[in-house]
Amino acid sequence: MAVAEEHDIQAILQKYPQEQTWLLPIFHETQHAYGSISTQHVLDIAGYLGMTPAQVHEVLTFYAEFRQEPAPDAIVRFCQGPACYLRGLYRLQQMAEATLGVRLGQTSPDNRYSLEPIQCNGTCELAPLMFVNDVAIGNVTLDDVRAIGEAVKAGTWAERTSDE
Amino acid sequence: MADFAALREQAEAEYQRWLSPGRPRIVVNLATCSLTAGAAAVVEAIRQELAAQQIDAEVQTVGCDGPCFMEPWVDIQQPGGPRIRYARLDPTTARSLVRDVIKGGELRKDLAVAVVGERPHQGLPTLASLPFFAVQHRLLMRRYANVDPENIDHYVATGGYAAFVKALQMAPDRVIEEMKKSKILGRGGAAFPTGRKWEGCRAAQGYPKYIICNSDEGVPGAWVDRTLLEGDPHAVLEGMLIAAHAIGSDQGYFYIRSEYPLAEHRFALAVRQAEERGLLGENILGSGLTFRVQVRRGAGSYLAGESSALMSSLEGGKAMPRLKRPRSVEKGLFAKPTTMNNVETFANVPHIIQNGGDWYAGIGYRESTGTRLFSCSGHVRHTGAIEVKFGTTMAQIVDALGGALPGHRIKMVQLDGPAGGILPANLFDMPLDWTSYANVTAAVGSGGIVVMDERTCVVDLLAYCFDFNEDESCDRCTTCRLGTQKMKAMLAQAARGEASPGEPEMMARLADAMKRNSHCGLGQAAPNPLFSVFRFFRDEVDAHVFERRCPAHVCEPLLEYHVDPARAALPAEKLSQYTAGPAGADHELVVDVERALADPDGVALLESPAVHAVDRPQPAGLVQSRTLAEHWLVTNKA
Repeated sequence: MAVAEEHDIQAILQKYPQEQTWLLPIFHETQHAYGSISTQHVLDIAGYLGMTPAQVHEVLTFYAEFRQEPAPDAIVRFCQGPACYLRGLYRLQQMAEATLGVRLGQTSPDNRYSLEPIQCNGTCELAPLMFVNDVAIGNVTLDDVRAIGEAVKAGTWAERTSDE
Repeated sequence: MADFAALREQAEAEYQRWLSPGRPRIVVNLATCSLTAGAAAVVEAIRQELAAQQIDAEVQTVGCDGPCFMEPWVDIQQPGGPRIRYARLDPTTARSLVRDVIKGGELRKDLAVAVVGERPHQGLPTLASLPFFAVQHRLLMRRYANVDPENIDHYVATGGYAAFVKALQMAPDRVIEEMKKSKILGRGGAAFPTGRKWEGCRAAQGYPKYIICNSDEGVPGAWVDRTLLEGDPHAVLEGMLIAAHAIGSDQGYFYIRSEYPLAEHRFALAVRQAEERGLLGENILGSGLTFRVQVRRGAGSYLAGESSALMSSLEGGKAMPRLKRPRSVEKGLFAKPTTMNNVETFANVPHIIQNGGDWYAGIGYRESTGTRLFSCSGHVRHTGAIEVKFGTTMAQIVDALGGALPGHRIKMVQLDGPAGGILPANLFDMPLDWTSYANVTAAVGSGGIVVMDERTCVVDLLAYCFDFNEDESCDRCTTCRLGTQKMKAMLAQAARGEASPGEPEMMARLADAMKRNSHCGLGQAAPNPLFSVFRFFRDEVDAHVFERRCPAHVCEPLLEYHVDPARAALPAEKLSQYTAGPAGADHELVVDVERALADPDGVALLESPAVHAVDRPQPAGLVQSRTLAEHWLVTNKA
């Protein structure tokens, strides 16, 4: 995940004109570099763009993609789209909850993994869809969810994807 | 224009070489869907086998032409021979194709599904004659699997940018005239007449004027714009260029949802390639037109697809809709005259200018002109992306998709995602057109078709739809913010068999209030599925309210699960963890759902063939009525 130095956000900011229209591109680049957008980042961005921290924070928290806390090692997501809903989403999520030991929307106590909903990303032809970080797995069955969940819980998920 | 003629000549030479490289062609489709289905491993296996067999062949990348049920597919063409499609491959079968087909010259009819060409071959039908394709009228999709979407030469060689060059030689008003004659309505869901929008923007006072391409495509179930951008991105850019000339704009924005990285990459690449060829930038082709496009990424907001909300987002704010006056064609982005159109709308523009507005208006049905892209998924045999003329019926579309899944019966389709109306199966013979679909509250929408069979409970579906709209609401308008919450609460009560008899009427009144008093399309459209369900499936709603029964056997509080111990693949001791006593006269046991859901074996048990659902016995007596005060107290707790 994020290893860049704190002061490097200035390197990101300097690439953009000091206009509010660049706020989302700045957020994207910051999250890509650091994994999340911290309070210090919000203060730096506000200062650079001539906005108040509250204004920056308001926009930050509106968009589902931006995180304010560092992400866990594995984020398990289930697409909530209609095709996925029709093809067994609820039961698959229940299997994920039972396997991972967390409810939808929660993170494991050791912050190693979380289980989250995600809105439809337009791959409905392969419904039902689940994701672990950026890897999309289509046509998932209950057995798939169980196996993937167990791998995530054991921390062996990364080795598993290199096989597939 | 001399520059363009030279460009075209060179492009055609390159394209011809690509079509006939003098050695075997292996055409692969690498798009988001095929990659998720395992295409990368298939292509890697092919490359390895080619190297191992020391075969000199050319692996070429194209976009997807729509039939998702064939994924991962590969087309193989020997020099001088037909192009054959091989479907549903994996690394092992892909390797065998290299050995048997390319090296051995066999056909491998066990894996071949069609000829991608004019004539059948050795008993294989043409791709175009397969039911999935035969129903279609492919105008926008014709390039998808026939060009490399990352090569501008292929676009130019197949007629690309010729319409733009023609438009540059027309007065802007003439261009707008053709757009009006075409009668094309916006494809993003709002269906506003595009010609009228451009005319309004051209007439508006102000500089600069902006062109925005709305590529947010957030409506669940719709992925037509993604497929278009991954398969033929230049078509959209050309549409924007023609608009820029017609309206007098020198700056365009392309706002794409962040969930579409490959589409963003291919469009951004198209922009760079157009700049390199002098088709974008300053004084394009010596015409005096200057136009640049900035690519911007969204961040996970469905509401950003709403035009005024998108502009707010582009300005660096929350994606919240604005007042509809002044109109954005007069004061839009940065308070300047702005034209925003959908990806698919822009892709239609070159065809309208090249062939004329009257020609375009001749395709379709009554006032619904042209074609419509659809992405089809759900309870249907074959999922995929298609293009049909207006006037095609839903029955024809569903047939082309292979119909219902084995053993099931299609009940309805939902167009336009969780804010879309529902078309019941008995209306599937209605020809597709904007007006008649809108009249049954099943507006054509932005291109998603989700098919649902008898396993779908309309009450559960409505709860699902309102949950989505509640989640995505910006929470400004009371009717939307609280309306979606209250609807969810009332539907959850109905799903538990705790609704009171007056509730359906209350839901209908609330739906009406949401429609009339919400500020933007999200709140206005959110009650649409409820209007449809109450109109076409009221008996199913009444069963939940008055009989405490779920006919589709979906709402778990109204069900009891019975397991046959002899068929359950669990030892008796393990099984007893999940059961709670006998289930009537036979040897079956009642499943304790709460305990079953607590661990993976229990969850698996609930879906095993040993378990079946029955209606939970309900207490006899009238369903209690409630006063309005009692009602609001109870739903506030839910």
